[in-house]
Amino acid sequence: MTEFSIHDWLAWSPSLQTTEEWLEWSQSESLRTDHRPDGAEPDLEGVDSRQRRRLSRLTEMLLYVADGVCARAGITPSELPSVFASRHGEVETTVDLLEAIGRDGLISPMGFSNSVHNTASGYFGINADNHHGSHSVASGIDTFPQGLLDALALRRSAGTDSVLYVFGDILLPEPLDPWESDPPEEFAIGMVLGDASGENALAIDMDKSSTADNTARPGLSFMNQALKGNTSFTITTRRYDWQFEIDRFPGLTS
Amino acid sequence: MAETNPVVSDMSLLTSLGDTPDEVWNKLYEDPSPQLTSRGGLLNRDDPVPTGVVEREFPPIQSPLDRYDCRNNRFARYLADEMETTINQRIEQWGPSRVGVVVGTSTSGIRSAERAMRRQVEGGDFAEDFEYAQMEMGGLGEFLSEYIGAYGPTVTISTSCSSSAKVFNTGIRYLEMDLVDAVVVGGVDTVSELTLNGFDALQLIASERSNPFSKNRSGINIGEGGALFFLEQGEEGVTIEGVGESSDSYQMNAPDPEGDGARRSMEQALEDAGKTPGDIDYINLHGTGTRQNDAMENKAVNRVFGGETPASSTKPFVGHTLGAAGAVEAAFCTMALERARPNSLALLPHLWDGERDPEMAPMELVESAEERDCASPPSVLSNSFAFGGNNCSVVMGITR
Repeated sequence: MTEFSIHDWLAWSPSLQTTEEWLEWSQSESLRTDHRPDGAEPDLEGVDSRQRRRLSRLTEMLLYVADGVCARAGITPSELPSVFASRHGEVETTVDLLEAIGRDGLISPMGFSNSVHNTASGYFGINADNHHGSHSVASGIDTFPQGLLDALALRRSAGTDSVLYVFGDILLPEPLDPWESDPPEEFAIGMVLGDASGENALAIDMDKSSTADNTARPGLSFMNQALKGNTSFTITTRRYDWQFEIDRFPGLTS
Repeated sequence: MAETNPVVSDMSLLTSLGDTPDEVWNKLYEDPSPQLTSRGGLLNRDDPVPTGVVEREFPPIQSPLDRYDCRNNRFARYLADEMETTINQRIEQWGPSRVGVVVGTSTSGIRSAERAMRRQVEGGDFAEDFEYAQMEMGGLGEFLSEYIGAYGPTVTISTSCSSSAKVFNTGIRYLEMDLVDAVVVGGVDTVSELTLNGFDALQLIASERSNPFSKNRSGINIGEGGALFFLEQGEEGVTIEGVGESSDSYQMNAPDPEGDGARRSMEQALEDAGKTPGDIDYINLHGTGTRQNDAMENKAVNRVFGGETPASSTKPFVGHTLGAAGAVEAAFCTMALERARPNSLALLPHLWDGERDPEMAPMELVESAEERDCASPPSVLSNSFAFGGNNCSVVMGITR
């Protein structure tokens, strides 16, 4: 198993914002986090309003948890490398551009530069004056755990104590909505991760999936298990069995 | 860094210059001949622009992986097929869970979505002949993993023009962390209306072949293609000696004009490799031919290396292959290292109009393809600097 630690986490979804709300959710049967799917957006106080107007909802969510978890962990956001993971990425902006192209219309330069997968990573670095390396990644249904491995790799490469790992996804817009997963993973989580010597130890392992049935949304499933206080569990996707061992998860009142 | 640097046990390459390393080498070095095709139909300009297209057509991806069928993944399949013997032997030897896939792309199969959208706009069915697996960024890595049967860590990095340089960083760390015994790294990108028109909207596309570091430079040519590398511990071969990364933290679509981010990226790569600037025998520049990149890269290279290290941009040959550029240019560097005599390096030529930009610091641009003797086994450095100042530099060497 690959061992690491987690200093802190911060998660946001349209219906769950505080730690208490997330803890309560973990006790419920359903994994849904989009009870208020009316375009609810996180409050990005620290970001310039002109910039905020240009940002997609996904980027707002990712920036919110990125900045927020650094604050919670007492880490200056300029100090650490980062991995931003999203299965769908800037799909809303991309669909708008595809529609424009489909009509032989013009596409805006700003729209194009904000449609790249590393949009949130770029804005985070600019706002935080962060000069460390930053990755933006995707791995289909397995994006959350695969991105986490990349974060551990980047931490090692950078030689820093910590790495910022941010995962988030929004609902697929039309006309892609037929491909939406069930339940959809509409949330974002920021985590500050460290090496195995850190206080809140975790371990992750992976194997080819034991089943072809696509059963889980790994990001939400992980949150659900961890917040229940489960210390050892497996999340199975169509492609992989992901095993987690958790010594202690921050934010749980013992 | 690990005790020994990982070696490239096998490599495949696909660009407008050719489908195999031999074909590409012939037009890159033996008989330098850039291959750019004129392409019209951009939304916002009447004149056609040079693009580095791959002419070869590939057959559809069959069931059970047909949901991934798009040109981008057909390129990937071809590249994997070219390494089939090595891949199959190693998966057999180590087991599928011990071989990983780390690849980069900026386009994935967006072309499929473009066609689907056009259908919809014209009153047809979006979903006919389209699957989301073709379009999503993670589709490239996932398809390759399924196709070759490798079930180690699998991730697609998408950071625009540095995507398939960063794959080397993640790949070598997965080896160091003992997550894998071997890893397939690389990148694939394919020309699309979105990227052509997007870069054109940013006024970054040149009307003629790109002219890096010239005072007359006027932008990029979009290219396509890909390269895959099989990395593992080994006794001899081209080695990945170090990787460095940095961020400019400046603007979303312009680099820091002072080149600080680029400088940090190169310095980090050297430090990771345990090398000094004097150990580098050749620099494969990012050299896109935009006014901004070349000005800042010139500053940064001069600050780190001075003005005498042989350097060239190979983008005039094949275009800027965007998400595949890191891998394609690492492939060019691999050939430069292994096709030369021992303790010698094949210097890749810099194609331009020869008109120095008077505002630039001195730079030793390689005038013609030639072998140069080195004091010891050569090392090279390859730069990839992306949108939003997302930088990566890779140092490669050779053990014989």
